[in-house]
Amino acid sequence: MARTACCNIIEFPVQVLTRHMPHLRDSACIVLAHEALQAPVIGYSAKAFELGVRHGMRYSAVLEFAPHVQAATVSQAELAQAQHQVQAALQSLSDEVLHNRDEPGVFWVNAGGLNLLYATARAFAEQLGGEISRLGFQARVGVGFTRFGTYLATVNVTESLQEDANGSHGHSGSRGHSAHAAEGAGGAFTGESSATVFHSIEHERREVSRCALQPVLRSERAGKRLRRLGIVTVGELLRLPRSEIRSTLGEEVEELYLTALGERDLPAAPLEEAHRTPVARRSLDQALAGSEPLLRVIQEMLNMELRRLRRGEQVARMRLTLELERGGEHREELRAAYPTGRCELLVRLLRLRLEARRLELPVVSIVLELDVRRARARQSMLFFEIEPQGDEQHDESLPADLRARFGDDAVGYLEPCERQLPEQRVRFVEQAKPLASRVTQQDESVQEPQSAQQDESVQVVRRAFVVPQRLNRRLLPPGTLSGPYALSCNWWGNSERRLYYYLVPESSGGEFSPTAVWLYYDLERACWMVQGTV
Amino acid sequence: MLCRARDLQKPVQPSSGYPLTFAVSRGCITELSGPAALDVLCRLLREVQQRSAQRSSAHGSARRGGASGAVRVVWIMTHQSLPFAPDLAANGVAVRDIAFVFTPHPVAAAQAAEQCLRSNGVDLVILDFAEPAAGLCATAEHTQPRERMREIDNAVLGRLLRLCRRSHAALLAITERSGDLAGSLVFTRLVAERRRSSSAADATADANAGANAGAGGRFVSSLKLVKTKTGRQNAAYREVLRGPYGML
Repeated sequence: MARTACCNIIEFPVQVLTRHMPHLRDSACIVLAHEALQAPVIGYSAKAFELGVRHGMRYSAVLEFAPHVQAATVSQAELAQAQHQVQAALQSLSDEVLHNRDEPGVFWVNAGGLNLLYATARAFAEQLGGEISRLGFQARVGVGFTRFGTYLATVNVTESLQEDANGSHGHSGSRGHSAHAAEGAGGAFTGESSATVFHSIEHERREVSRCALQPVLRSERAGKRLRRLGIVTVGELLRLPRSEIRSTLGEEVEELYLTALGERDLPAAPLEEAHRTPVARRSLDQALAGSEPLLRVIQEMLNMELRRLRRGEQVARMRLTLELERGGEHREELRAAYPTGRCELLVRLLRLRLEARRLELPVVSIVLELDVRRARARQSMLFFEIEPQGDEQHDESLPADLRARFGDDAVGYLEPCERQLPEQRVRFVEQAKPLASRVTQQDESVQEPQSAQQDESVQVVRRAFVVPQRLNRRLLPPGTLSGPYALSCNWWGNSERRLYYYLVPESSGGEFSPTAVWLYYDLERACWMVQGTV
Repeated sequence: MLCRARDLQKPVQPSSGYPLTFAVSRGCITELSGPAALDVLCRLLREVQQRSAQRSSAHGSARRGGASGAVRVVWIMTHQSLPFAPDLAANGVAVRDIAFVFTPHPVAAAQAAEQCLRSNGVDLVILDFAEPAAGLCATAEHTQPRERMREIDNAVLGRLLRLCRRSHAALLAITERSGDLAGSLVFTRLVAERRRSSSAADATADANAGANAGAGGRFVSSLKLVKTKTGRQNAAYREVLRGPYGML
């Protein structure tokens, strides 16, 4: 199993603040979501924690018991800039760096295959901590095997964990944090770094089972419910019967239970990369008609822009604005299957799009805007570009080609949803979900393919309109109506009350029946609608 | 003319004789029509998805981001009347693994099919031209797909057939009536019909299927081989179906 490391910059907003204002480092300071008396606290220093400040408290409430506390705000731009700095520093050590979208300042670094570079996992952890401290932040590092385990190791710095995980190496960790962690604050920023290393997956599981649950619970309600039952640690949660978790403790606790079991892991995503958009303009001496001459000029412009790209930069999107002869503009936006620096791939997409759209008037000027991003490590190497191969290439390039030819909305995948109305039980998504996240989902409302195999009989498959259509009653054929079957939902909002019927038209003498109509009477709007056919 | 030996291979009729399997359909164009077209299609979809899953596990393809199981089925539509995904899922079809492509008219659909087959990464391309409820809707635009379908001539079908053979993929066209997709290059024409189950024979078949009655009615689908170049013409294959809740 590949090793992973978690770098947790505890109280990230406060650390960003104190990096710019060092005089606040030893004082009781808090970070507010915005500048207002009612603004909630999103970060606090260790001194403020000792005064009783907690996350989510209103500034006015804090002033009641700690009038001398210093408050400030940190803008999203400052946070994002700091996150990018940390990510860039971590990427110098490993290719794959992911961050926690819900909690800024938490990063996971893929440590797989780095054993040849670092003699021990602890050396790698120290290197990570060193890179972060060079930027002026202090982080706790956990090296283990799962995101859940390593994250818990950084927020639950209990004494037993320290002793077990550090072994005889000793360490500069903050033992005093156990009280903070147990109280649910996840520890306050004290300006100290620490590292925890798990030697094996069993070791990680054993230690994580002793960790407090509170730091990984998002809602206060779930935390209260668990505390009332006397469930404080991960191990205590895992002792509960699995089948009862969802019904008695809710979805969030079930999610946490499955994560603790190892069936799921904490969500992580790469940080959105900063991008720039170079623009090329060309006014044509002579108006051009037809796609071929246009493509030649655009290819020339594209080639020039691609030559100007810095090393490691690739084009993810193109926006093309064509100014037409008698005024007016024609705009196109194209997205490559994967960021690329190859002109021929981009020109192929442009060709598909321009051949599908026939311009009525000649073009007098062209504006080409490129969305340039820094390539991720897997996409580019020092001297050449790695492209997806085989099925992987098909996965990405075919939808991109189809979108280029038939429009951006032309390709989609169906994603089942837990809703009542037939047209809402499925939604369109642009990209298929990775199977890894699919197989772990147990959607009770939608029968998964495996369950259907047990029952050998086939169910009749209906067709349903994306949006139900109003029925033209004059065109409705005579037949047998079965129903009504009432469906009532969304009573708390715009309620829907429908009476569903199946209309089987009279057959014209044959043995078989023609296509039945699946329709409903909308009680709220008092009209007949066609849902689909059977 | 020189060509590869694999391009010359003929579809093999399996011993069971069921005409809508991947072994029969690959490398050729099949037309499926009738009210029960989607019901009988589920078996083929399941088969294709199982094959691709087996293949990807055999190749041990470690994909980026942990994703695996390529999209091997493309469903090209010329209308907005989609197959109801919960019904497909109930029949064992992994709905999330099907890419749906929307095209404005049948000719564009054929172009999209050509593009899919050229990519060499698709096992089954479904061209869905059937829109049975279009005439009932007050606001439906009458695009007259049947007239536009005539534009898919033998030249287009010939190109598609060659690509099917080259990529060992199956091309299946769902039409409202048999013969809507004109041309001699259509290898097999099938008509899938449905009737309410009533006879004793159906009851026996029902019992053999081992399914409980459920809330919906019982139906029998009949897949009839109208045209074939290898199999037994006019052969019919029956199957017991569960109706959706409320349909008796």
